[in-house]
Amino acid sequence: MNDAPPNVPAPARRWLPSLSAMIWIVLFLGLNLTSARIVLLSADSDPGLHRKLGEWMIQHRAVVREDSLLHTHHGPSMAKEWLSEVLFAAAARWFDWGGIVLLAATLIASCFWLLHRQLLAESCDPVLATGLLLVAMLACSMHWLARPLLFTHLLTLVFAWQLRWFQLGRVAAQRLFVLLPALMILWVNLHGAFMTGLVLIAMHALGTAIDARRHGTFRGKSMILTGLLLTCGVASLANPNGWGLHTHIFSFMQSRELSTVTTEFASPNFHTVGARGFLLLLFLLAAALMIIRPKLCATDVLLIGGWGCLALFSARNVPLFALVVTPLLAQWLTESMQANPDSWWGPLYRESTARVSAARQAVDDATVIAVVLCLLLVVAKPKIAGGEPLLMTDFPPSRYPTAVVDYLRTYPDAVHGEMFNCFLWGGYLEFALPERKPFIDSRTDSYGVGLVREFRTANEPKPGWEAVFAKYNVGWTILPVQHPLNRVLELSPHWSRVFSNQQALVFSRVP
Amino acid sequence: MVSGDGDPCMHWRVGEYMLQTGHIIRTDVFSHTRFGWPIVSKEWLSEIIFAEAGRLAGLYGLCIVAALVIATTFALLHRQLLRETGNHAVAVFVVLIAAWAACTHWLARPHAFSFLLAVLWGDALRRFARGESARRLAIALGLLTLLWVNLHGGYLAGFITLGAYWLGAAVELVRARTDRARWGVARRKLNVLTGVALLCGLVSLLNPNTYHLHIHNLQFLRSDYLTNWLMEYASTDFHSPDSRGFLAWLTLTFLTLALVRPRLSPASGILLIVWTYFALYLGRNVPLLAIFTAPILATALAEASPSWVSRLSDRLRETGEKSRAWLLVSVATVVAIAVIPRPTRMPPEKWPVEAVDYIKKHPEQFGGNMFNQYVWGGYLLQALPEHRTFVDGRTDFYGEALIRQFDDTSALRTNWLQALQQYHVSWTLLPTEHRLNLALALLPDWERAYSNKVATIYCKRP
Repeated sequence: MNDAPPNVPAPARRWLPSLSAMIWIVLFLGLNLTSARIVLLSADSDPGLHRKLGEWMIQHRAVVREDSLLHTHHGPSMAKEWLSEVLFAAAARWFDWGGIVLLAATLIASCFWLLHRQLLAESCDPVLATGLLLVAMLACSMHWLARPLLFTHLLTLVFAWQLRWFQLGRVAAQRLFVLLPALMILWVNLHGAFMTGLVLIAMHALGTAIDARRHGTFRGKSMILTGLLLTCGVASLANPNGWGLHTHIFSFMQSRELSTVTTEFASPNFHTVGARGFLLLLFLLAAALMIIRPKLCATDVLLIGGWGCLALFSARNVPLFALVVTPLLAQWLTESMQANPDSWWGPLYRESTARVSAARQAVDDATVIAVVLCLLLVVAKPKIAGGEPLLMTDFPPSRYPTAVVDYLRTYPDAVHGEMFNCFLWGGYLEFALPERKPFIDSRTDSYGVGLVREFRTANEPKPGWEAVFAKYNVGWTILPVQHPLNRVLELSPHWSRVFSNQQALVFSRVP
Repeated sequence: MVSGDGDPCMHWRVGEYMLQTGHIIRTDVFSHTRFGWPIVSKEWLSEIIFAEAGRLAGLYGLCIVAALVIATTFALLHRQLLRETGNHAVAVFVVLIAAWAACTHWLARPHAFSFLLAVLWGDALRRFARGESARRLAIALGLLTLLWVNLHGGYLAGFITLGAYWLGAAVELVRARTDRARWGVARRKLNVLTGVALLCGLVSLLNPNTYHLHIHNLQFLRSDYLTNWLMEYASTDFHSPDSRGFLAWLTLTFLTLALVRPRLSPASGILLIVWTYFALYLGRNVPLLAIFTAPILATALAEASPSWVSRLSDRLRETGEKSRAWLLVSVATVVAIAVIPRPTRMPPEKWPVEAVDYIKKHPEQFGGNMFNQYVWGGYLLQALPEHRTFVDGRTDFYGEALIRQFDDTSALRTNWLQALQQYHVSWTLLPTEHRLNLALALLPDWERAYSNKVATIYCKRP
């Protein structure tokens, strides 16, 4: 029988990092050292777009105010994620694309490290906490992309955590009023989904008010949360566009046509492997509600129902749902295990998990993480130690027209006029071919529905595509081989093929 | 109901063929791409019913049959909920939400029969769970299976639900291992459900294709390509206003579980999880989710309903007993049927009605094989019986190979001309905005024969 207190690790394990730190290390190294780093970078071409914008801001030491990346659209720029673009560009200055992957992997690993620590701090069993964390990771992994969205994941977790602990009485109101408005100022400059934080506070304020009314108690907490909501709302005005950013985002969300152009704003497709994590989380929730039958307060109902609806509306909300719901699930399961110590599975579970400990080790998590980070920086940029990069990170030629870009750099006169490109390649081309402006990129909120419709006419293609090309003086196209417009251009006497390989075809208008 | 897609016309045409020939269709006679290939006629009985209705009243006849089946389905569901909960207000509320969730799939197609059979199937299983005799369950499910395997390919839904009850009984058996009396009851339940499942399995062979029907259906469902390609097999798009009913159903389910906290039997829990999963996975399963799980939610809500709901229920019951509302409803229905204009043809702003008229007037131009839009295929079977289609709504019959060829041509992939050449296509009938028209316009041996806002016809030059 082991008489040692549970929080003191056995001597043999004393120098191992804690379970949370191990999760951070495995996730961080896994994302950096496997092919996942290519997926992080190139699942879509937005990293190219953000790097380009960030680079411009670093060079000019100013926030982008004028949008001139496309030849089809000129106008004021909203710069709704300027700070994260600067951070990504700064990382890329040091380590090229590897730096962007490093930053993204750090954000992802830190997010789940924090979630694991939250679960443990809430008395969740280490094995259960790790299991639930894996489910949450699976649900979130569909949006593990090197983009500003990752800042929203991290900040959502911190907001949800602090608000939950305030409800549980573990955090004082003063701390919320210091921490959350400060984080909101960061968030509103890091990513356009900063409204997530305001929605979370509003849900807590409303839920607390409903519970106070039901129980006939004082609405002190609800009033504090309402005050917090107002404070964070005011803090959210601290961005280069002030209130204009909020109205811009509202108008974008209201436009169904615009918000469904990008797949991540569409509802989750449950046929895909990426949705399995979300399904698993829904299954666990439903099973817990039916078997454990936890008593939910109004805030819990609002959080699960509200974020569940938002996740069904847009796949990009699935990670937010997972981050908000996982602590609730952990709480129910923990309470159920504590309430049923004599159930048939209780001793079996305790016996099989007895050796797992999440106790604090001799070395602090932060130290371990810093050491691993430094080691990987050296691997990513061995110039620090005088060598060449061991891991090459770039847009893969199997998905992006890298050969076309090389060709056009070598033969710039091969094409004339303006470009027509496919939607997915816009961000990549903005970075890789800075001397040419694309027809479209992923910033549908910037250029509006008119251009989207014109793009669709040419992209389908539908009758009227030639008028669109004429309007924008399109002189050449760069499209995937199987793109239907290529077949029409092949047959047209006014166009000729200037480049082809297995990924892309380039057609140029015959002079 | 009849113009949501081309399938109502397709089933009518197939049924009409069976009525004319006096036997069940065994080989394809409607397409030129798979002409003479063996057919698994998985819904022959409903096709004959629709064809008889079509003979009597044309497209309107199809609407009447579908409306009758759907209305009966939800009327039965309401009666069942009323019987099981005794609460009029809850029964009406849950049935209305269920109807809202299901209404996007109210089409004059054989799957409407699946809704009706699902209501009866679920009722038989719940009666057994409440203690009704095993013999009655066996007779009810046996008869329903016999009907279902001949009416619609969705009979698998019945087996899935039966499986959920079987699994629920197995869980009860495990949970009751220390209680001899409960263990005996659970054991008997499991034995009965096993026996009934075997009986239904045997009865399901009583169809024109015997076990080939099951193999055919499973092969289709296992094809990721086909189930991803078909719109109605896609997951629900929650941005669409059509999905609001499903969202309301999910919300009702969540709120019931979270706030009412019902003690569900293992079978009910499994049913809720399994059918919610199937409905999220395939939008076309939403009506079945609503039908199979409505009694679970209604029972939980009725047990937890506050006093004002009970008072409302009593008032509804009293009003129902005193009033002669059925008379008013009957009169209103008869008047509506007599007065409201009846659909006689498909709406020409969506379907190539005028293009079909042109083809009929100029038969000399359309001697060879056709390439048509997928959704229009069923309509063309009915409207142009003298021409064979390239493809229509019978995706499971055409199979992955042909659908891939069709898609390659429609999407103008690099091999887009291959299917046109292989099947000797000499004219196309496609929506005017279809991209294939743009390519054909640039081919020297093709010319435009007809075009309006809806459809355009290209013909190969002789």
